[in-house]
Amino acid sequence: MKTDVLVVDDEQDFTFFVKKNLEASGRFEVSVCTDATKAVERARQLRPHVILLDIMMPGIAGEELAVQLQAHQETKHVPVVFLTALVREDEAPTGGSHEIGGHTFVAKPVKIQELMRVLDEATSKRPS
Amino acid sequence: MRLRQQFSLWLLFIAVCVGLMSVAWVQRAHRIKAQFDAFANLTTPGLVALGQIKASALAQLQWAEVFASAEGDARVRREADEAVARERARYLEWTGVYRGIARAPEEHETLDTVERAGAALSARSVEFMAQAGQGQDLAEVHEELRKIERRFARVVDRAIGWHLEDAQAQKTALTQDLDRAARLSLASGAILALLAVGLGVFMAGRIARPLGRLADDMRVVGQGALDRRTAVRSRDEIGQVAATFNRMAEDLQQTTVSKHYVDRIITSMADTLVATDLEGRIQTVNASAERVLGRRAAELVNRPLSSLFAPGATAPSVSDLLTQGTVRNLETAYTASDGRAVPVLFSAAVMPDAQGRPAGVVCVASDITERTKAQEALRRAQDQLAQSEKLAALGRFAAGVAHEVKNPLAIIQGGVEFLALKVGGQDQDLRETMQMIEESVQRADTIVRDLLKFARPSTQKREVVAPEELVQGTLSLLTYGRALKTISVETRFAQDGLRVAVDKNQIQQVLLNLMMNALDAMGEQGRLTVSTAPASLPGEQLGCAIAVADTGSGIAPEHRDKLFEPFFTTKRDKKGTGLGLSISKTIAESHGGTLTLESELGKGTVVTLVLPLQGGPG
Ligand SMILES: Nc1ncnc2c1ncn2[C@@H]1O[C@H](COP(=O)(O)OP(=O)(O)OP(=O)(O)O)[C@@H](O)[C@H]1O
Ligand SMILES: [Mg+2]
Repeated sequence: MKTDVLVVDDEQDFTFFVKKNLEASGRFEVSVCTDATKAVERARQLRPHVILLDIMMPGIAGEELAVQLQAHQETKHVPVVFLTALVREDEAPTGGSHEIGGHTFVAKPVKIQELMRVLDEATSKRPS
Repeated sequence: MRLRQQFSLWLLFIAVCVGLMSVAWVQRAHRIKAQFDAFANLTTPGLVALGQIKASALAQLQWAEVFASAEGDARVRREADEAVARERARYLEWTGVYRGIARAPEEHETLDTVERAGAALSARSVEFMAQAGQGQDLAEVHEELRKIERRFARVVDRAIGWHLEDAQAQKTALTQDLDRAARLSLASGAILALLAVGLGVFMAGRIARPLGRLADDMRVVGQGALDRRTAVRSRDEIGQVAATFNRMAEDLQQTTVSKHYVDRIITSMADTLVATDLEGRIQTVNASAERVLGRRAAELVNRPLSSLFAPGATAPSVSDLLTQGTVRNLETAYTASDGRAVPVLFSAAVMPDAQGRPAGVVCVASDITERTKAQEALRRAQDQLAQSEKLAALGRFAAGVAHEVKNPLAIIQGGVEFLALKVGGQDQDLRETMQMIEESVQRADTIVRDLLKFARPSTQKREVVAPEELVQGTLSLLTYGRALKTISVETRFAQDGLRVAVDKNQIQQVLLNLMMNALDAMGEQGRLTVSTAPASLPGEQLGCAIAVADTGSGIAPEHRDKLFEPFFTTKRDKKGTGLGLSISKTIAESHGGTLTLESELGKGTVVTLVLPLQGGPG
């Protein structure tokens, strides 16, 4: 069974490549949302297995979205992996990830292998 | 009274004396002349008359004898008779003359006696002539005539003798008078001469004595006793000279006193003072200048002003100063005798002479060594501040850039991976190209990540560790990571028990930076020595020093100032970013520590990280 991933990022090109690269592995089904304000809505509709969330987006911050997702029954238990261009050195080495407060952080640019590993890890914790 | 008047008076006095004396002499001469006249008028005609009387009387007698003896010869008798008459007339005439000049009773007596004798003689001669014809004894008559003749001659001779005596007496008196007059004039001349000499001496004294005293006083003043005044007071020219001298001494005393005063001011001036002549040769130097320059005034006098300035320092030329007039607060440097350059604030102005013409230049300079030091320190502090501000700005900028750069990097990364999927691994060139793109993405990402360390100083997670633990941890990273190649590594740890409270990751990052730099500097060969030792930090704080020493290239002096600046690197070709040292320093300082560097070109470099010991502030 494929893993459903919702990518929320205003960088359309980035989401395009993430979708293509993830789906190329055959293990992921990727939906893209480039408008952060509609992200919660989409998540509630799609009920993905994991949400890949950019922290710095116009309109609304990634952390804020995460809080909102927590507030909805449908998305409450969906794991969130944060994507950021500004992850600190000690928090996430390039291509690496780090957990802060139960959330996983991934620094951009990220290699697709690493991303898949993080996503697998995140979804493996999922109560199923 | 003026000297000229005094002299005039003396001369007048002497002239009056001479005049008075001349009058006396003239009077005396007149008296003598009168005596002489009396002598000439009375005595001489008397004698002449008496002589005539005697001669005529005796001639009468003789002619009478001729008559008597010329018997029978009528012609002779007539002649004799006429001669007798003639002589008689002459006799009468001269007795008349004598009577006319006779004054003194003696003269009248003499005349009477002579006349009586003459009358007797005439009577006898007439008697004789009458008897001559009667044949009388001629011898007897003759005898009697001789007697009469002798008597008369005696009388007349007696009269003459008396007259001669009188003349003698008068001559004696006259001679005495003349002698007296001569003596008198000699004496008065001598007195006058003495008077003149005396007066001369007196006057000379009157002039010379005060002049001498004045000269003495002048000498005393000249020798420096400026309060000395002359006591010479008179209303003549000498008095005026003395008064003028006193005024001059007064002025001199005042100007000299004020000169001493000015000298003291110049000597005690805190600033250096140098005065030159028009050619720029040093003429005057004050004590401060001697002190600052480390030279005695005597060494400096007559040397050119330009010799005071340190090599390379701005040295205003005297000719420029003379045309410009003034220089104010020029920052330049003097050169001290030990070769040291003394920074000074230099001002100069043209010094006029009494007529207002330029006579030289007066230069005042304050030693601003201390100020310069303080300014230097301030400048360094400002530089540091500027640098940290620069870093802060850079950090904010970096945060913005990072976001803008990392997203495209992420897209490139994704794109490359997508391409790899699409074209697969068949094409070798394509694979290599994509490999290169990915590496470039990594490099760009590293730079941006380094930049970000300024943007958001990470929250330090401090823990208490032993410094040697930090060193060992870093060294093992090196060993596992980049190869140490043939470099030998030595560690020297100080006494046990030193502990620091640090963010282990950050400090290891610092040590890694330092060791990587050391390895870069050494290349293939060398020795890396990492040591720890107790050290002190500014503010009496105890610390631990971790020194990373290499035997590498060392650092060129011109690079030393820039080492800690972000992006300064000599390794552009080896992909150095130039952020290692600046980040390390920021981390060291954020721990309350320091990062310092010592290097000798060609020998090696020691970079020392000092961290505060655990328990201290910071
Ligand atoms: N141990 C050393 N010996 C000689 N030169 C050194 C040493 N440490 C630093 N330097 C000089 O200082 C420069 C700056 O060093 P810094 O670590 O800040 O940057 P970098 O090493 O050039 O680049 P990176 O950011 O990769 O560290 C270096 O380029 C080098 O010239
Ligand atoms: Mg370096």
